[in-house]
Amino acid sequence: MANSLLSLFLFFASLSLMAVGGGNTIIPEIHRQAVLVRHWMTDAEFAAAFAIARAAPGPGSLLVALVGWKALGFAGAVTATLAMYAPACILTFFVSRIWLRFRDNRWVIALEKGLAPVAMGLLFASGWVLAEGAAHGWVSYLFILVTIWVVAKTRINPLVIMALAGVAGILGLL
Amino acid sequence: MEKINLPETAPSAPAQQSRIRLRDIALSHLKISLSSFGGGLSAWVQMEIVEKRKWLSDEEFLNAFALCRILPGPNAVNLAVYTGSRLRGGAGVLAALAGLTVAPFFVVLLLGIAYFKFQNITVVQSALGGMAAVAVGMTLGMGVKMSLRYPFSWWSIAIMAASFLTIGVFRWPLLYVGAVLIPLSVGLAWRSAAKPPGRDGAAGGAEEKEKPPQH
Repeated sequence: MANSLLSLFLFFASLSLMAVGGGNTIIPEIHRQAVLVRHWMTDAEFAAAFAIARAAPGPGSLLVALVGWKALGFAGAVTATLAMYAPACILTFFVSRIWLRFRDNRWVIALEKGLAPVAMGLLFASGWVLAEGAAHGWVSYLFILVTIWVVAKTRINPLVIMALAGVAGILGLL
Repeated sequence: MEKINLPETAPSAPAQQSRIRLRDIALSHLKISLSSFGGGLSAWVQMEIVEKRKWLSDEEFLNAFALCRILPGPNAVNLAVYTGSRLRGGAGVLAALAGLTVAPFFVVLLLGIAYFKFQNITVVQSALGGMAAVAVGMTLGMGVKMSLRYPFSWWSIAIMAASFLTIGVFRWPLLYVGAVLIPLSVGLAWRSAAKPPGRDGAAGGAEEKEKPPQH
């Protein structure tokens, strides 16, 4: 048990720093190992786990908790999650310390001014990519447009729209 | 007797204000994590951390967002690490991470186990499926809101468009796009900042004389 927890830990820890550009980039490798190589779960279970982690509140990367659960139960879920997050978090922590330390440096100020428009393009790109999996038919486009307006122009809590969309989803409208 | 105490509150006030409580960091991240149905966490981070709590400015949030996209690992988790680190150092990181991950960990586990046991959670799935459209709208809406406030100049509009097209539409790898676009953008920011009048080169017609970027 301890040995297999260790191998589970090492597997996800090694993937953590390979997730360049976000958690979605390592999904194919997790799928390959969990379904094809180690047989922790079936193809259908993996697809459902992906959909659940994506749609449920919180980081979509919690998919690894479900993979860990199928492999070794609750201890596996905790181990997989810690292994997935720890290396990337430690790296980000040290980079953020360095970043914050040199904030007043002229070059870092230029770097920040230059990064802002790139980041804004990335925001729109994220929305664009997300839309591919989420927008089917005019009702969902309507929800997207209304939400853009609510977020950009009003002080209405988007959870209100979220609840309406949940009801619409149950009624099969989108 | 009561009035004598008044001056004492003055000196301690700024010190209290600069020290954000760990509990508040954890609670705001808990709120983010439990609101973010269907993904789009960064939109909720922006609403809570920038708009409501005012812990980060628009520009610092954008920088952190770009930094966390470029660094390996799940973006939303990296963003929590940055925010925690910026506000309260290592302890802040742990508070932010606990708030962001512990509750959704159990939510995902319970939903997943229910699915593995019964192979059927159609109602939950269709409700969550509907919410995904709202998550898309939140991310785009946040982009619109920040663009309306951002002091654009010709080069920053061009950089933003290039970043959106290459990453969003063409799906080129972020590492390669960033390796070209970030130095280019920083160089342009450096040039426009070096000009004497109008510090940030916002809407200044006089500053629009630079050469266009050569691709």
